Parts: sequence; C-alpha cells; structure tokens
Amino acid sequence: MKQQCISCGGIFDDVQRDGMQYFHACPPLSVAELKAAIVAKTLTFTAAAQAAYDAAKAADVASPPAAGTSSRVDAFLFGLNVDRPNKRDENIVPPTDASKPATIKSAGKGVQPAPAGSDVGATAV
Amino acid sequence: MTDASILPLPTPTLEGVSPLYFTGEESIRLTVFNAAAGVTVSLTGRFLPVRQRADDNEPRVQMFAKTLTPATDRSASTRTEQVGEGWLLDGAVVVTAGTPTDGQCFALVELVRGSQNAFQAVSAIASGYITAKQRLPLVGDKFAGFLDGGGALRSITGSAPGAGLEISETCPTGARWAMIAFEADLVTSAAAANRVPQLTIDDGVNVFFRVSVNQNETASQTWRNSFQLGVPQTFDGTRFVVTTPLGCDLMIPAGGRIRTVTAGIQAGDAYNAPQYLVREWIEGQ
Repeated sequence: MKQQCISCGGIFDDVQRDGMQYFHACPPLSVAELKAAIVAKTLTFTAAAQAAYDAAKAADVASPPAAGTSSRVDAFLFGLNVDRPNKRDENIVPPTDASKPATIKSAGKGVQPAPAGSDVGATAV
Repeated sequence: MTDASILPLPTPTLEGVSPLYFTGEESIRLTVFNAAAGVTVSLTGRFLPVRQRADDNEPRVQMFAKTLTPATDRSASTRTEQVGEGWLLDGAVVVTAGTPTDGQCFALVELVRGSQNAFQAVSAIASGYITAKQRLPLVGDKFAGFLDGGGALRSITGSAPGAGLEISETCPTGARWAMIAFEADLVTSAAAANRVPQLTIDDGVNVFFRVSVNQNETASQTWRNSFQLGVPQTFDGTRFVVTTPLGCDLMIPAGGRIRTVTAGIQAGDAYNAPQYLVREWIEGQ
C-alpha cells in the first residue's frame, strides 16, 4: 500500500513487489530547509560549525560565486547532516525478549495513505 | 544341519548411534531470522528415547515436526521444545510455506538448558540459510554464518521525497547490503540553475563514499541519474541519461544510508522514487 510520511512528505510502498517489507526513514534536512532554519533561528551550530559557516558567508560576500556555481555557504551546508524534527524511522529496534515484537525506532508524525496517482516506482522509459 | 546347531541371536536392539544425546533436561531451540513474506518453517526429525526401566518395552523411534512462523523484519523468532531423554537420530529445518531465496531466511538450531524463557545455549547443532528447496540438516555438522553465500538479489523501490528534498535510503536493521546499481531520476523545475547530484553512502552519520555526476542538470527536464558498477561517466544528451560509476564491493551496514546531495537543487525540483539493486544478507541481532 502506498503511504505518505507526514514528517517529510515522502511517498513509498510499505511492501515491495517481492513481498518484502520496506522501512521508510526520513531524509536529513535539505540545504533549503537548513537555510530556512538558520533564518528562523531554530538551528544551533556548534562553535566550530558556526565559525565555518561565518567564514563561508564572509567568503561569499568578498568573492561572490559565479553564476551556476554553488556558494561556499551551500557547500558548507551540503556537508551537514541534521535530522529533521519529528523524524520518522521505521527501522526496528530488536527486542531484548524474543517473545515480544520489535518496535520501530521513531514514529515521527505518522503516515497517511498516499494521494491518488502517486507514482512510486513508476518511471518513464 | 540340525536345529540344535543354529546359533541363537538376540533380537536386534535399537541403540543411539548419534552423538546428539539429550539427558532429558535439555531442549532443542530453533531460532529463525527472516525477511521474506509468508514463510513457515518446520523443525522435523526422528528421536529415539532411552529405555527407562529394564521391564519397559523396547523404545520406538518417534517422529517430530514443530512449526514456526517467523517475523518478517529480520528479528529473531524462536521455538523451544523439550524432547525427553534419548538420541536425536536425524532431522532438518525445512520451509513448509513461502518462497524465501538464499539470503532471506536464516535458521539456527541449538541445544539449550533451562525452563520458561530462561534458557542457556549449551551447543549449536546446525545453522545456515534455508530456502523452499534447500533444507538445513541437523546431523552432519552443517554450520554456515550469516554472511556466507551469495546473498539475496533485491530490486528495491525507495521513497519518493517531497519537492526540493533529497533521496535517503536506509539499510534496514538486521541487514547488510552490497551495492550494485542505483537509479535516481531528477525532474527539474523551470527555475534556471545548474543542478549537480552527488551520491553519498554513510554509516548512519559519517560519509565514507561519494561520487558526483559529471554534468550540469538544467531546468525543465527529467534527468536519469544512473549509478552502476562498471560504467564510465557518460551523458546521453538526447535522453538525458547520465551514468556514473560506483565502487566495487561497496558494503553498507545496517543503519547506513544511500543519499543524494544535489548542488543547486531548487524548491520545485523533485526526485522520483529511486530504484536500486543490492545483494542482501541477514545479520542476526
């Protein structure tokens, strides 16, 4: 069944064509989301990361990137790995007691049926 | 020859010839780690009980068959059975329902002591992958590890991320992947920019492999980014197919991720659900 993750908007089949389970996990924040979080002051850098970010920003001002190339700030943000708030991760935590079922790592905001016409796995030739 | 000269022989007596002797205080435990759907596993065999008292009848060989329907998330499913005192003559773990392929259903049989849920493993009897056609014999010292064999060949359809977001696929808990191919189609919006996708593989936190496509991907196209073993970096400008090589023997541990990181990605750009081919083994936890 096609599902949509409410945390990240990703669409996936929870059972693959070979009948095996699929375990969705949200992607980290994208560069655009990181920039928005910086503006909204919801992202806190470590001291070292803040210094690197400030240096990249200053370098972009001093020497603006050529058209069609990435800025130094973007290059810095590409290297960050920041989980989104309320991340969903359906991968299991193995139970310590084998008689009990496994639980998923993080439910996030949950899932809902994917909108009709969602084209998971459909690729043009 | 007269009747008197015939040597009287005793009636043949059944004796245990198997080294798998159970004192009556031990049990046999079947543990299955499974990823395939609709699988039922059966522990079957023959058991010869000991004669308890001199005036008991000669023991008879007993058949047994105990079934287990394992979970499909690679976690351990177990069944423990008391067998009494005697010898395990022979037996096997067989798939009685479902069609797991090599690398999808791993069985471990042990001799354990204890009761209720407090069992202590004493010795291993057999271990290895089972399929619809391949059983695991209990007698004959068959011991294979989780990472033995060629693994299960799997073609997986991943998650289609939201607009402007990147692909991120995670190797499931209890699995290990070897990467063969990964296709990620990027549908670019009308916003003018040069997008340059990069494929990264990490251990869940730190990136240990990355490769960039050698092409600026422009607006209003569907770019077929195909990462494969054994291909050179190429660009088909007619069909917008971009091929990029992967490293050989690229192993991904459980929790490791395959991700795109796309320079210049725009808010209206969207990746389709990726399709990828991996070899998969179970790593029991």
